Amino acid sequence: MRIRTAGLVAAALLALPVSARAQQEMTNDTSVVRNAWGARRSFGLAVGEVALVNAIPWFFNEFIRGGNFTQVNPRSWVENISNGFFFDDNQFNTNFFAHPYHGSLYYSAARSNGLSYWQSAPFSLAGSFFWECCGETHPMAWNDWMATGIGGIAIGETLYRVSSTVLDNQATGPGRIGREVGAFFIDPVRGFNRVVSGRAGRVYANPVDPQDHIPDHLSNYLRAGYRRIESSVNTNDSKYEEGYGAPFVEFDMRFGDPFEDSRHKPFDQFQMDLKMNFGDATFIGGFRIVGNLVTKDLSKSEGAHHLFVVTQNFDYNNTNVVEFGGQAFGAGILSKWRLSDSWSLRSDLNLHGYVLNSVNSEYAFSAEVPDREALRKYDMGAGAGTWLNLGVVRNGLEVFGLGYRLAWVHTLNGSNVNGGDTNHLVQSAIVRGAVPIVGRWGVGADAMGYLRDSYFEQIGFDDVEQKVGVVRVFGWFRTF
Amino acid sequence: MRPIPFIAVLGLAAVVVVSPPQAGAQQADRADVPGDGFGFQAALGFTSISQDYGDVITDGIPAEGGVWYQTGAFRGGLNVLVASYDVVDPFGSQSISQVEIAASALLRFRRQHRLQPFVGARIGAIRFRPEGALFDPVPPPPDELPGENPAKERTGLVGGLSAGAEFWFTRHVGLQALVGYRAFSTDALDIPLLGVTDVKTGGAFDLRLGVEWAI
Repeated sequence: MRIRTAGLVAAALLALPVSARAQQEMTNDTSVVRNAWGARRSFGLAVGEVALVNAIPWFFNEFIRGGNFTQVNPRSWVENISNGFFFDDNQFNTNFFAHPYHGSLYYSAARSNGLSYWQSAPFSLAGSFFWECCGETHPMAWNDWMATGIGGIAIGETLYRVSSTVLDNQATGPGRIGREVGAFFIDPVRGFNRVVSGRAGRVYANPVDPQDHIPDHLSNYLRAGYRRIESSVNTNDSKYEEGYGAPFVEFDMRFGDPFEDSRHKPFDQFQMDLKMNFGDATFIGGFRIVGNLVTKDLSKSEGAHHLFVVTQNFDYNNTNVVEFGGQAFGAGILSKWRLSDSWSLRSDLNLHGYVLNSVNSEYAFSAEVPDREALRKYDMGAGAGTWLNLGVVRNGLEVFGLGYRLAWVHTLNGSNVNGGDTNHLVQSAIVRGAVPIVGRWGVGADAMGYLRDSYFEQIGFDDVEQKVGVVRVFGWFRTF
Repeated sequence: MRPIPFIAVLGLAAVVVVSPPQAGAQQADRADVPGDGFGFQAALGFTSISQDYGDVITDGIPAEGGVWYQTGAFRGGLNVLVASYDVVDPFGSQSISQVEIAASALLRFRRQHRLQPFVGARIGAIRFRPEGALFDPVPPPPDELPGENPAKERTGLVGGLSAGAEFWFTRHVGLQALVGYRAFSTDALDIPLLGVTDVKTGGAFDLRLGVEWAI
């Protein structure tokens, strides 16, 4: 009851000035700075909402769950900050999906209050740091800060853009309600701000630039099908094999076209791939984001166009046999060769450095973590990676593609006990094809080979080679 | 620290109240003091406990965060105060944490000046949670899950008065200093090892210094 009462008081306090601000906005006051969606730029509201995003889980754990880590006070803050950062023992999906999603709420608190990508990014990092030092009594976890702070930026900007494609300020009636509700679920903090500011119910202008709303080049593919996975884990004297098959659903979004678009602000062009797996470790089995932060022309002619890009990359793969995730920044070259009016060849070469990455490891249970409550199954570290993708594209549809990817995980916490280095090399290669059948419908298939070579210096830890094969067949529907 | 009687706080409040207030409730129009609107506060300080809880805990260090909205001389807010206390000797290594959520009201004076005295009142809920082996149930509850706190919390009501002053460096940034007294009553706390039972009431004398951000 106390919690509900406190929540109502907080909501009233927040809504009071915001409603007054909404009235001010309606007077076309030109002294305030607004973003393309009409949201007034407000650092104060951003700070307040970041605090609220931290307060809600704190209240839940302290007052409802009865947690043993939320009895925070100045002494716990000093102790946490003076002890510095450690790594924690949370489950993989918590550390590499739930935490980044929570970080996206911090980010959105700033982004949906009129701030840009670069202005919003510090809010994700600061909100996460504040939780680590002062929102819980657990020792500060470096992996939590990086996954939440940096992953939150990638997911936050992506969800902001995705929700923008759903919103329509000109819509009315049930259609408008449906759009606002849909956008609320995609980006809850933005939805909250639209409701309390009154913009959710107003009919007013949409953004002028399509990159802020629905870009001219937008490809959304919904795929559904069946996949078969086979895995073998080999050491010097043992071999373990397993295999399983299950349905999957995948949502693949290509927002913008770096070759065609004239504007190149951060995430004006990005790729997002969300995999939902049945009969596997978790329902959300994969989430990958590659957002362009900087895009510059290298050369452009009648037949070829080459771009230099700086990217922010987010990886999360969680199946029964593979756990791989990370936050990275990279640079690369995108190329497009024109083959005919409707056919082109595209390539994507990217080199990136991981601020934090992770992969499943047979000896990760030995990870040194304070206040251990669980045994981890994955190593965490930092490293580097690269990928090269080639695609044959016909009228915007990649009908045939090849890809290769390499990632190095230098373990900072996990199997590297007693000073013994642990390094993982993860390689994957994929071949994929798609055939249109009728209208927006088609079929496709892909096959991927995955190889993990893990090298352990610790005596008694045998090196490991894991091979995974994945074959998928699916139908697809292009929504845009 | 010896508790200062409640009457001292009232006396300070009276001094503040009789200082010449600005006429009327018009919004501040100086560029270097805040007008009507929304703001945040954060403060650190010391707390001395008396009454029942004074026999159990000592050396309170509180921190408070709050969000407020002010119009004219009145300011209403929602405040969250967290604090930790050491248990009295010989169990000084044990501690008790406190969470308080309160609605606050504040009346400001001399609003056209950088230095603005105020008086305030608050009412809310308070919660003490013992930490450490002294308070853990033996044997542990059979249904305890990882991450749960086995020590039972004590909850109750709190009300208080305060007086102090704010100094505004700019229209948006200021400092606040206050003294205050809070009275509270909670569920009964028993600590057989200390020979105390039925600990329910407490009085908290506060001294805090904080920062203010008016948006």
